Amino acid sequence: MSVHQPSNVYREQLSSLNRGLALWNPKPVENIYDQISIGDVGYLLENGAFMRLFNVTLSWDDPSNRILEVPEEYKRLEQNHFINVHSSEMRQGEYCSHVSKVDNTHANTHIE
Amino acid sequence: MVLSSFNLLIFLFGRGMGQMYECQDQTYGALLYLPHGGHSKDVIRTKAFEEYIKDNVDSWFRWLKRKNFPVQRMEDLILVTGCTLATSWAAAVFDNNNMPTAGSDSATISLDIQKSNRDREQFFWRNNRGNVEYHNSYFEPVSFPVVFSRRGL
Repeated sequence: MSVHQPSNVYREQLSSLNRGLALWNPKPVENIYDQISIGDVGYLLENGAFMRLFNVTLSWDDPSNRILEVPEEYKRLEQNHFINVHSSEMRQGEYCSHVSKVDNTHANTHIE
Repeated sequence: MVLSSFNLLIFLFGRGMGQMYECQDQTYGALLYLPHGGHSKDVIRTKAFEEYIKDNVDSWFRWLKRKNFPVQRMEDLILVTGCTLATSWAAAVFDNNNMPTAGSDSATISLDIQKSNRDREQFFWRNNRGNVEYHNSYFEPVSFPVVFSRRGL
């Protein structure tokens, strides 16, 4: 990508889907965390991965919150805020922004 | 799909080329493909987070600066209120900015997905035209990639 970082373009483009921040590098950061969780506080790395700092549903001094640095003492977010968690399935297939499928099965004709 | 114009584009391909994708914008485009879909979890009442964030974000940001984390602005901090996890994915970014004739040619790519002997997907890309960056997941049973995260900060 000559002008912009792919991770930034990817995130900006897919923001139109209203599904949140699209991560160009969706793999958890090795040796930092195994899976992203509700309550995680962090930031995006230049390569498009999420860097987890700590999780506010856990105590500030929980071992998993001390992997990078020990955070300042904070009041844990009470669990009752997480009682109503909605689960849903995202369908199989493409999620696009300014990109379309081209029919290349037979005549390979695409009408724009 | 509503057709906004009637430019007819014709492409010729051999068999086994997979699905072709074309950027429709004069600047950029993006593609995410999920062979098995994804599973989403979201906090319903995100309002409950707002007071908590107001109470804490200043001290978190000061702590980040003091520890030299690469966070320049307070708004770069993310509190996750939901996410979508997927075990298998393919992603691409299209750049149409440097195409030789603006508007006539578009960055295109083909993606072919085949089952491996472990019943997992293998992704085969072909950059047909223009500037496209792409990558995909590999079989990693202990990894739970998040393709989207929702933020409260």
